[in-house]
Formats: sequence, C-alpha cells, structure tokens
Amino acid sequence: MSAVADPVTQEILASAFTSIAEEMTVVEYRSSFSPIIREMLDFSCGLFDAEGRMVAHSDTIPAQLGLMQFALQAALERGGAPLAPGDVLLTNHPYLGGTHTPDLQVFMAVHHEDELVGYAGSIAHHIDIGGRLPGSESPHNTEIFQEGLLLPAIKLVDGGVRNEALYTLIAANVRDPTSMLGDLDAQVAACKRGVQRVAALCTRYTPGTVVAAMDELLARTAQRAASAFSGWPKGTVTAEGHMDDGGFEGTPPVRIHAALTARDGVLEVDLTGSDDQVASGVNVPLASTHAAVFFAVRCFVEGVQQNAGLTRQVRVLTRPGSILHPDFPAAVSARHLTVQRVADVMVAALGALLPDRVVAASHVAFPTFVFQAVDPRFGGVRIFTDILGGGGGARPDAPGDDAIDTYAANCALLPAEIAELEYPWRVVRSELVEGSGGAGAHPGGRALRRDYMLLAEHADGMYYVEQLDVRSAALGRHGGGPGAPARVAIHRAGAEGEERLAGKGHIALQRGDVITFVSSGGGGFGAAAP
Amino acid sequence: MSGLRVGVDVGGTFTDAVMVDDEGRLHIAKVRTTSDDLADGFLDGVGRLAQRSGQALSALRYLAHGTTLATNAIVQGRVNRAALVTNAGFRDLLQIGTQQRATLYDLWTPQPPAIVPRERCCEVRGRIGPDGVEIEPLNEDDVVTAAAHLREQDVEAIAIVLLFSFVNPEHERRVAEILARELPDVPLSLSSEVAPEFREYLRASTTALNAAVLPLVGGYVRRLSQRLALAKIDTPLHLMQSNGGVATAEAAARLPIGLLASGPAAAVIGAARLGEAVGERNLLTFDMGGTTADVAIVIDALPQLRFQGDHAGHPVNLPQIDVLSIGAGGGSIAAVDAFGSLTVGPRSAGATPGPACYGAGGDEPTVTDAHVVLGTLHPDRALGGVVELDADAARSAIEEQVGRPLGMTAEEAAEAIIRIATANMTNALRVVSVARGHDPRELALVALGGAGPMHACAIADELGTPRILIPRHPGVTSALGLLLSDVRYDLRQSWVRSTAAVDVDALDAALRRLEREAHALLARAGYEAERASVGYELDMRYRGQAYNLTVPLAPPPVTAETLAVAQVAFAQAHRRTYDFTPTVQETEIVTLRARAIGPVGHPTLAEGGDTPARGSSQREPVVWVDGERRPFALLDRRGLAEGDEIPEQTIIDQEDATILVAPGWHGTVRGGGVIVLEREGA
Repeated sequence: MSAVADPVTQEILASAFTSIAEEMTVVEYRSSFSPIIREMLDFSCGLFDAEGRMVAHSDTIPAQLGLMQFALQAALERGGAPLAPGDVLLTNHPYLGGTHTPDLQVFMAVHHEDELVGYAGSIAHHIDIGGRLPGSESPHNTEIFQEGLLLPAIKLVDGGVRNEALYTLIAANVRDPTSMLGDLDAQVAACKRGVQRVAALCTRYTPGTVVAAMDELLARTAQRAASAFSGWPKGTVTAEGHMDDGGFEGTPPVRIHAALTARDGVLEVDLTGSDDQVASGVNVPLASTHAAVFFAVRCFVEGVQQNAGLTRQVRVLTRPGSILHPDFPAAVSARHLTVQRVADVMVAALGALLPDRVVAASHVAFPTFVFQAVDPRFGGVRIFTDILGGGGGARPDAPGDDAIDTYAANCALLPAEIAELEYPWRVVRSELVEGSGGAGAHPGGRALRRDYMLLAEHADGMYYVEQLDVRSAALGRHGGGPGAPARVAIHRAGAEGEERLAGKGHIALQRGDVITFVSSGGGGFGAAAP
Repeated sequence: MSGLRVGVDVGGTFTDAVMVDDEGRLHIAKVRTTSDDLADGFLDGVGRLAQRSGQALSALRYLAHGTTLATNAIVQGRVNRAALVTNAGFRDLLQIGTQQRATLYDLWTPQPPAIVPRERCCEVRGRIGPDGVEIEPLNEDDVVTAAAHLREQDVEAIAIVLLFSFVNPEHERRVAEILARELPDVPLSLSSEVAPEFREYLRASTTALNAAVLPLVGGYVRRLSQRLALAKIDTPLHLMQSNGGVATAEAAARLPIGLLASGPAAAVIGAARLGEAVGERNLLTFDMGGTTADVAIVIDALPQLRFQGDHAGHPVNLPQIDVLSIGAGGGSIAAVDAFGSLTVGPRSAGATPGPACYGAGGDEPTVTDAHVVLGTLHPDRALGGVVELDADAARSAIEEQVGRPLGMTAEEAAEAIIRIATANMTNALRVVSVARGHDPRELALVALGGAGPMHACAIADELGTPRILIPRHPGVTSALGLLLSDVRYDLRQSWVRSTAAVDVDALDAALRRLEREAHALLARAGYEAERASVGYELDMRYRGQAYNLTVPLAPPPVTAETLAVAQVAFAQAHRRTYDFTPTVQETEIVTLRARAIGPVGHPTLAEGGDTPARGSSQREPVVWVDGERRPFALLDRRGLAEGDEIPEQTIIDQEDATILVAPGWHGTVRGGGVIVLEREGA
C-alpha cells in the first residue's frame, strides 16, 4: 500500500478522521448508563493506525486520550498479532498502558477486504470494577490488587462471538453489573461506529489512500511540532510543585519536578527529578504520566492535534521507581490528583520557557468521592459520585474562569436534580466561593463549594481532595496572589458545627449528615491595585 | 384557505418578502434589512409586493414573519437586563454551568460570560423534592427582599428557576405572584412554563435566555402590530418558531426563545413541502448562503426535531428542527498555512468586504471566487443581479494565496477550494443523516440558498444521493417556508417512570392535561378543536440511560396496548440509532410530549408571477470540471416550463441562484417549478 493522497484529499480525510472520533463520542454518551459517563462525560474516543498510533481524537478528556495508544500497542504486542474482524479487545491494566482500573479501554480493528487499516478505540470511567471499596478507587490503597479486576488485554468478543465467560466473570466481580455492562455495550457500539465509518472511507478513497492519509497526518503534525520546538528558546528551564502529602495525611509532600529542553525539533521533558513512588494510591502509571505531559505541550503548540505526530516529537524521561513511573504492583487509583499536578508543573515550565504565554496556575484540588448507599425508594445499592471544578488561572489580559474542571480533565458537574432523582442524596448548596480566587490585576477564578446531605440510613466510601495546604495552592504570576486552598468538612446530623476532615480518606455517614467539598481558587495575574 | 398570503423573512442583511396570490403565483421582493427599526424594511418589502402584484394590502388574508431579532441580540450580547431568582444555595447556577471548558487546550481565552451576571441573581429559601413534595416552605420575605434588590438593579425581566419545579410548580408560581405585585412592570419567565424538564442548569439557561429577550421581542411585536394596523393590514401576524410552526404574535412574544432558530427552520419546512409536492418525502436539505451552510433531514415529510441546542454558548432546551449550521458559505475564506495545509472557512468575508471578485475591498480568496475562476459564475451573469463580478481579482487572489503556495494553477487551486468546501458540507450532512441512522442513498438532496445549487451535484456524488431537488427560488425558501408552515405549539412534561410500573390511568391523566393545554393554546390562535389536531409522543430510554429517543404514542385514552406499541417503537429506534440492544432491557418513560397543530391551509404554487429580469450576454460557458475545461449549455430559468428536460453539463441562471448540472446528471422541470436532477443510469 503505497498510495499517496493528493493534498486536497489529505485535508478531507484528516477532517473526516476527527468527525469520526466525534461521532463515536456521541454514540457513546447518548447510549451509556452511568452518570459518570452520560452526565459527567468522563470518557474519550480515538482512531489509530495499523501500528496502534493515535491519529485523531475527540476533544474530551486529555488524561485519557494521551495514553490510549500505549494501551493499544501493549495489547497488540501481547496478542502477538493484529485484531481480526469482529474482535473486540478489552483492557484496563494500569501497567499496560492504562490509567486506573475503572477506566476500561475497548478497541476494534478496521479491515478492508482482509487488509488491516487501523483501529477505533474508546476509554470510559466505569462506576465500579470491584476491589475493596465502592468505585474501586482510594488514595489509601497500597497495592493494585485492592483496585478491582485487572484485565490485561482480553478479547471481549472473538470474531463476532461474545466471550460469555468473560462477561460472567466481570458481572460477578463488580458492584453494579447492570450499569457497568450497559456502559461496556455503549463503548463497543462507539467502536463499531468508528470501524464502519473508516471502512466507508476505504471504499470511497481506497484503503491505501486512507492509510497514506493517516501517515501523512502524523508526519505533518510532527513537522508542525518540530517547527514550533525549533523556534523555542534554547537552554533548559525547570519547574516544580508539591502534592499536599504522599496520599496519607502527615506523610511528606511529594515533589513533582520537570526540566524542559527544546532542541533539534524535539522537546525533552525530564521528570526524573520527581520523588520516589509512595505506598498509597497517588502513583501515576507511566502511560498516564505521558498523557499529562502531552496535554500541556499541546496547549502551547498551535494548529495540531494531540496525536502520535505530536507525541513522537516529545521525549519524556522518567525514573523507574518514582511516583511518575512506579514499579508494579504499586497502587495508582487516585493518580488523577498527581496527573493534574504534573500538568500544572508542565504549564508552569512551558510558561517559563515562553514568557509571553505565561498564565497563572489553575486549581488541581479535584474534589471527588464515591459513596454507596441503599436508596430507600428503590431498595438497591446506589453508587454515587461527583467531581468538582475550581478556579482557573488568570491570564495577562483577563481573570481566571470560575468553577471549571481544569487541565487534563474536563468533566461536567452532576446536575443536582439527577443526584436527587436517582440517588438518596440532596445537594444542599452549589455555589462559588467568594474571595477564593487569587488576588491580582486580573484575579484568579473562584472555587466551587457543594454540600451533599445523605437521605439514606447509612453510606460509606472514599473521597479525595488535593490542595488543602496553602503551600500547594494555585500560584499567581507576575505579582498575582495564590488561590485559596481547598477544604473538606462534615456536619453530622444533630451536631453543633462542622468537623474538618483530612484531604483523603474513607468515611461512613448516617442519615442527615452533610458533607462539604470545597475546591481551590485559581492564581491571580499581576499585582492587585493597592 | 384562499386569498393573498405574504411571508416576510427578516435576516441580518436582507429582508425577503414573498407573496402567493389567489392563483398560486409567487411574487418576490428583496430589500435591505433596516436595523434601526426592522419594521421599516418589513413594510417596505410588503409594499413592493403589493405594487408588483397589483394587489391591495387590505386583501391580505395571511401574514407570517420570521425574524433573527432574538438570535442576533443573544449572539451580539445586546440582551435586556435580566435577573434570576432561584433556590438558596444555587445563586451561581448560571455562572457554574456544566463546569466544562469550551476549548480544551486553550488556557488563554476566558469562558463566555453568563447571560445574567451574579449581582442580578437572588436566592429564596424553600425547597421542593424530586417527588414534588415540599421539603421546606417558601420564604416569602426572601422574595420581597429579592424584589427590592432587583428594583435597585433596574432589571427589565426576571427568570424564576426553582429545583423540581417541573414536578411541582407551586413555589415558582408563588414567587411570580409576589414579584408581579412588587415589580408590576417587569415581565417574568417561569422555568416550569418555559422548559419543564429536569437538569437545573439546562432549564435555568433556557429560562434566563427567554427572560433576556422578553422585553426586546415583546416591544418589537407591539411596534410592528401598530405599524401594520396603520398600513390597514388587519390579518393577524404569525411568527415563525424554531420548531417549524408559526405562533400567533401574542404567543410568540411570551416565549421569544422559541424564535431563536426560526429562519433555518422555515427553510427546512419550505423544502419539506416542496419535496412533498413532487413526491419526495425523505430529504436532506442544505441551505448555503454567504457565511454558513445549514443542513437538516426530513423523514416522511416531517423535519426531524431535536430537543436541545446551543446559542452563543448557552444551552437551550426547546424542541427545534434539527438544523446543523457550519461555517461554509460563498464568502468562506480559503487559506494555506505555512505547512501547506488548505482550509476553507469558517472565517468568512461576509457581505462586506465580500469575496475578492466583488471588488469591494476584499482581497482574500473565497468559495465564490473559486466559482468565478472555474467558470461556474461568469462576470457577464451578475450575481444576484446586483453585484458586478471582477474575474481578474478572483483569479489573482486564488493564484497568489492558494495556487502558488500549493504549486497549483489557478484552476486547480479553485477546484481544491470547492472540494474542501464540499467535504465540509458533506461531513455535516453525514452528521444529520448517517449518524442518526439514515442512509443518504435513500434520500433526495434539496439545494437551497444562492450558492447551494452550485454544489449540489458534487455533494450528491459524495453521499451517493440519487436525486437533487432545486426549488424555483432557492434563495427565498425561508420566506416561502413561512407560508407553508402550520400553527404549532410543542408542550412537554417531565414524567419519569419505569414503563413496567406505569399507572396507565395516571399517564392518561397527565396526557389529558397536556391535551387541554394544547387545545387552550390553539383556541387562542383561533382554532377550535375540530379544526386542530394534537399528536403525542413519549421520550423513552433504557433504565440508566439519560439521552432519550422520542417515539409516537396514540392519543388518549392510554392503554396497556398503546403503551406496548410505543415500547416496541423505542426498541427499534434504539437499534437503528446505536446499532445495539443493551444487556439492560428495562425501559423508562422520561417526558410526555404533545404537538398542537392548527392547519393554516397551504397554497399550491403555480408558474408565473413576477421575477425580475436579468440580462446575460454570455453565450457558451466553459467550466472547469474534474481537471479539464468542458463546454456547458446555458439556460435562462425564466425560459423553462414544466416538463422541460435539462441535459448534463448545463448551467441554469436565475435571479437568485446559479444551478450547475454536472457531467453525469440530467434533469426535468416539475410542478411548481421544482427542478429534479437525477444521476445518469440511476
């Protein structure tokens, strides 16, 4: 296959690839079963070439997008052969290109008359994949075996035949098999749609042309990235930031350190100065580290997609045994807190390298929780989750955004009415926090506060929030102040006043308890007027 | 209904007025939109029609109007000073939104501001639960305090949005009573009336947008009605809505947000009726103007609806014709970047300065310039009868800015621009057809807008669409669609229940409430029950899903049988749309819908009428197609009559459009002047 797409066909196919990834996402969220996917949109879709390199993606969750090619390539290596028509591959293994165990990745191959053209893939955050706690996540896990089922690239469907044994195994090991299997159906439906669309392109343009257009798109993206990096200042810049702790309160803050050097059209990102791995769930599996880096770099390179053309120009150096390259079987389920910190440090480093593009830091508190409770109205156990945005960083010419999900994530807030209709919870308040944005000529964005009241007899589960410590707050730039830190508190039913909680933990609640999550504010830009 | 009918579509640049006379003949007038007072252009257009047709305005029997007033106000941020009153703890509902960033990789561009700023958002204590039961009584003092604050803020309209008001609107109604007493001159929007469905931000955004254009649209409708009365036009004014029906001016002024996408909706209705007239009930429509192309799908003569849209970054939950708008028009700018990538649109040269060939200061190459270089448009055949085309300017813009960087001749570069523009429109048409489970090979393509008929054959070839319909006046389909639309009101009620556990009597009662409401609205528009019809639908989903599919439901009485039919229809629709049946098979009803129709009675179009003349000195056009120059025949649209055959490689010129009949296509003129093109051998 050595067809070459003429320049116009090239443009047409390149935009078709993106349209296809976007269509896959619509199929997926509209037919999904859990609020975390259908309301909060914690999922992503992409197209890949025959080597498993990402060609195109939807603009969804960068923390997921950037690692799908690692998962697909690892799976293809393990399988020893490309997927056959009608095969559906399932993987969630954090040490084989995954994020954390609840993020299930599904891939299908595109064939044109027995010829392999590429792959369509979907990654989605499932509400529970088993393990010791509802939601399968906890910053207090100490090894990955506590985080639910590990699925190291297994065929969910083999040549069109469902692997019923695998379905049975999964259903027996997860807390809400009905939603979980429905969401898996939706992922497969999205991939099927991608496969059909790429196959249709092959019929219209010949498979050789489609393959050539994928290659050319990656080559052009690489060329653009290389050209951008070549124009960046010489020399190495560094930036660092700290987590509140090592996952358990009282443990030392974990340092994330990045050294950036642009040379010969390649951006070298040296993360080896980051701290050792920790005995908690905030370690970041290697592919996930890459995803955080790719997101930040993409923000500073105009006119490219975050595909394998961009990523081939970025060399990420990590140190085995470190928090950004942990050794199996370290726990990783709360890695997103660290991923956001990596993105934050990267944005700071890139701002240091490119001073006219500097922006203040955005919040990385990322308050989230997973609580299970029996809903007295329906009888069954309901697993409830939400994710809170916070203050965005201010810009040289504008304030930061209020209450946004930042950096490598972009999840929606759960509607309060969905919470009350479907779960035994009431959202008592949902508001911006006055004064939480960093001071400045342009102030940082405001934090979000949400209070949830339990309406069931009893609930238990885990939560995590970063950036409670003023030392890890979202920093201002050019004299702008830091955003206010985050906060977690509980007001027990009948008690006087609220009780402050640690940033990460497991908790049991009783009817009438109100738990409060407050994210952090964004950094300000420029000195505030006196 | 016989008698003189007039439709007036007021767009951003032009006001199109069409008249259908007693004999079904069509008369057209195009005048400049008068942005200082839109009523001036409106009456100017109507006046010209009267003059041309020789008819007296007092003979007018039906008047329908489409306006972009509300849309433009929202896009340009020129809305009224609206306020929000909501539950304690939820004041920032609009500021928080979904908490998602509009652009994933852009750290520098701020999020668009909320439609109501924080200082005009007020809280009141009191709460209704998800089952409609009061959890905490409404604190009426809070409402009075809010009213005092909003009086100081000089607000012009107030949106009232309380949690679970779609189940129990009592608190919202009480808040409205108190506010009406305290601020008697300020119009109110209640979320339980504007958008009674769950998801508070979506409902709040919809209600706040409605409030923010209430005074503006209300004032316009009042002014226009007075002017019409002065002009001795006493037939009631109807306004086009985005659901594809018209509303009485009085009803439209109460729900102005229903007008937001009315122009594109009218065009789709026009296309659907014209298609029906030539026996084509399943259509893809594309309307290509100067800046955008609007695409939509029509199945079984019904334009497909969607229930949520987005206007300038604000989500709107309202039934609307599913029109997808993309930045591909005649004025779309072609550009090559430093890496040799050619893009066309979404940047547009607009009407001023316009394409390079307009010679009005535009020097960037556009789609229109590409047509001039290829020969589809010729300087001797002036565009729209008003613009002189400068072929040299078009050629040099394309040569220098596209040809040279890509190493192509001007013709090759122009063809490349057309191919990219065609691909952009084809992608959009795939979204509304293939992605919704419809095969474009089973649909006919309707080409609308001044530029649409030049691209139709290329698009049909890409999609495999076997037939193309081109109306007699592709450039005024929106205005014509106004005359082909019925009075229509869409009502809905969130009603979430498991289908298996539905109390049929309760469902029947809920549906009959909608029925009564529907007939009350129709009666106010002058339609008694026997002249009107009400259709019913259910939004359904598998339990756990959130995005519904809408299926028909037989009119009341609701029985186990009618419900079972709906359930089967839902399973089929799910299979068609998503290509799978989930492991979970329990279904839920989510929303009840009623569609109230008051038939207006549609004219049958005949040939004739008044069409402005347009000279042409060009004899034999030569058009560059597929890499070579080919001789084309040139036909004047005015010389074509029903039954005439049109061979391949023909250009048909008319006052408002140019039609390109590509190699491999041939056509026939059908009833009402619709040209039907078919692929050879099809």
